[in-house]
Amino acid sequence: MFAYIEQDSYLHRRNPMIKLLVIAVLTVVVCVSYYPVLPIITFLLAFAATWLAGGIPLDNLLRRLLVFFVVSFLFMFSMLVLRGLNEEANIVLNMWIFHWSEEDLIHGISLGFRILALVTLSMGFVLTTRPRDLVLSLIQQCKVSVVHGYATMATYRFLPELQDHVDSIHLAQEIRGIPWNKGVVSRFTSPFRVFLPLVCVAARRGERVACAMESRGLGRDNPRTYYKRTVIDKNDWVFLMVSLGIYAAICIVLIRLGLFHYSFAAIK
Amino acid sequence: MYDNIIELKDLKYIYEGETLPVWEHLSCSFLKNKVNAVIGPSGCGKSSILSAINGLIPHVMLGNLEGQVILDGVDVTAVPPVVRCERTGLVMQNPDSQFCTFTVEEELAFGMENLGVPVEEMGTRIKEVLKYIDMEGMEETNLNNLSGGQKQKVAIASVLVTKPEVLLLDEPTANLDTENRKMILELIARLAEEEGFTIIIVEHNIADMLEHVSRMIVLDADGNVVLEENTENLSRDELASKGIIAEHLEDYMCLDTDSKDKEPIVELSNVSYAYPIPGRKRVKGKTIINDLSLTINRGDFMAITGDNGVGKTTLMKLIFCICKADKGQIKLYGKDIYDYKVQDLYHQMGLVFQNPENQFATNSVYDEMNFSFKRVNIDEEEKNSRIEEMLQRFHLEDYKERSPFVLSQGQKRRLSVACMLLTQQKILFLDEPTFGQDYENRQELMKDMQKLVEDGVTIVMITHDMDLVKQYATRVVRIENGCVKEDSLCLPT
Repeated sequence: MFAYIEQDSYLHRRNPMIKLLVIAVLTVVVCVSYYPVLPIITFLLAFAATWLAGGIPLDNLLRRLLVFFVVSFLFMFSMLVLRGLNEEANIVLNMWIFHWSEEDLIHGISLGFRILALVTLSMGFVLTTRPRDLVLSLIQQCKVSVVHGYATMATYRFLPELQDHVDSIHLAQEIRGIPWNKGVVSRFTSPFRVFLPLVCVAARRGERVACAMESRGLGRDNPRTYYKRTVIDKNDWVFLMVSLGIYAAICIVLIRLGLFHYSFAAIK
Repeated sequence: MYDNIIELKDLKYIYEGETLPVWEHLSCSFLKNKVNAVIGPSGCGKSSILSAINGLIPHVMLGNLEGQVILDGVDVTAVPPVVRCERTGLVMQNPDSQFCTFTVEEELAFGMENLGVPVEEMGTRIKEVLKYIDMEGMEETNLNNLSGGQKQKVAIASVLVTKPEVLLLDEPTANLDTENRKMILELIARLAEEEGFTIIIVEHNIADMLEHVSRMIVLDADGNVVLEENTENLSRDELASKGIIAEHLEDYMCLDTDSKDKEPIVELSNVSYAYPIPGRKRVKGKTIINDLSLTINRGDFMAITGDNGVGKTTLMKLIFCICKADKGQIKLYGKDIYDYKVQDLYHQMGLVFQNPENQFATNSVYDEMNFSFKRVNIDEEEKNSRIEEMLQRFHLEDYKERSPFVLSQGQKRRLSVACMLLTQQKILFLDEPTFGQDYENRQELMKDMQKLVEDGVTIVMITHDMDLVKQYATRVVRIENGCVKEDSLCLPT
């Protein structure tokens, strides 16, 4: 689901740290906005950017986001159901035993789209950022130590295998006659039964990779050279300024139109 | 007269947390610019010798090391591996454990970057080494998309590019099929003859490359050197008679299958199956099992062979109802498998996975075995007696209080088999039972399986280890393009 897609696109060519900076700013602004318009616009912008500027095929992107559409909808739904049961003033919508105020609707919809916006931003970053470039960028631009940088890379390498390990553990235990997630007790104990073998696999893997890295000279005192380098060029700065400029303009327009609020007090 | 490049002097090493040393008073030497082979039974400390030469022992794998490691006349015992890597390069048994990056090019550059090799030179060395290992133009290839043999080649190449004097190879062909094994042994022979590397190889059977080996060091089970000799002084027959090398096994004799007198247990008739396309459960992709028919009879010691991706593991998943066949019928004891309750089905058949650790769920060998009885209604006395019997049968009596996760590879495999047999399954399926196992463990496991067959258990193993097939299987089924290409009875050698 969260795996880098190898190809050439405008977003693929951008420096990972610049992309992270844009995402960080957008995340903060979306999180403080309690009105649904900005989260909806952010989601649409992130989706369009990943599709068009990232060159990720539409069906591929939709397939990856499907589960998050469902999660966001469930959040919105459960939030609206719970809030609909409260008797409040200023009811604007009635349905059977549910009564919603404007605040209830805004809160529910904002939450759902905030989740979608953040997931789409993260998805766009992962799909268009080569793991090696991210590590090199951490080392070369953020001055993270080489040892920590490559340890991050090794972990990144192991993550896609994690689900395969969980599936094989689940299967192996089921064949031993231990049903998986069936019954109330099993639902609580299943994760613990996976935990032990999974931790052992991860620890062993970590130990071997650490040996491999040290035996190939990682962490030596001599100056290290880099076969590939990541740089922040003019285009990266243009991307940063234009992205943040457009986003700032949208926020200003929304504020002018009264569609950007920091708190519920402001809505009222 | 040959020169020695490495000398181990009176080495004694105890792993942290252990009480017994791996070896005591270990002294031996290795020839410069020659192939040196280290041979010995499982657990005798062969791989630890490579770690001591490389410096991982005692600097990364912590423990107490006494004695000296001499490299070209200089005591390097106190030198850490990050410095020793300029002169020694280690290739591990499983290349996946050694890879730190994502693509071939990145992996090859990693060691050179650490050593501070100039960028222009790195590009030249990468091109040269890829040409040398016949993988030109594969710089950008993702490591996960390589075959087992190609991965091992890249692992060797990633060390070669740093131009060490000594190449340390830890069972580099242990997890490879016959063809890939041949490819890697040829590469090692070329490195020794054309490039003049000093090679120290730990390998369970060096019969295939004996002519390239100049010095042989043989250890006994306690880690004592029982033979240290230049091979020019040893004849092949002498080595074979001492059991130091195993000669090639003759191909198994194929006979037509005649199952008239046998009792069928599992019957697959015209079974087809295709996996759904990811994310689209109802849309099927390429057909993996294609109109396959096969009968497994009582008492078979069957080997299912075939190249990667032909459908061997999928076949097992179908038999165990993990996947449901799109077409055809699968019967167990004459009854459709889909008419069995899953729990009843798993009481009839056991499956041992590639990685035994995946099936462990508790923290002691005894609890692990007891765990198999979780859904079985039998009294405590019967449970204990069955556990004791299995502990004895699989030589695990002394380890019943130990955590399954800290057992040796061979013991883990035996425990996983024992757990599967506790509820008296009469059919046992093994998925790549020799994966990650050294030679001794493979032989021991197969002998245990042979005894089970004598006791009336039917064994079906998926494997690419043709030596094992030739030695033990009584029936070989070769799968190709999702159907049975060959089904032969055979006489084990």
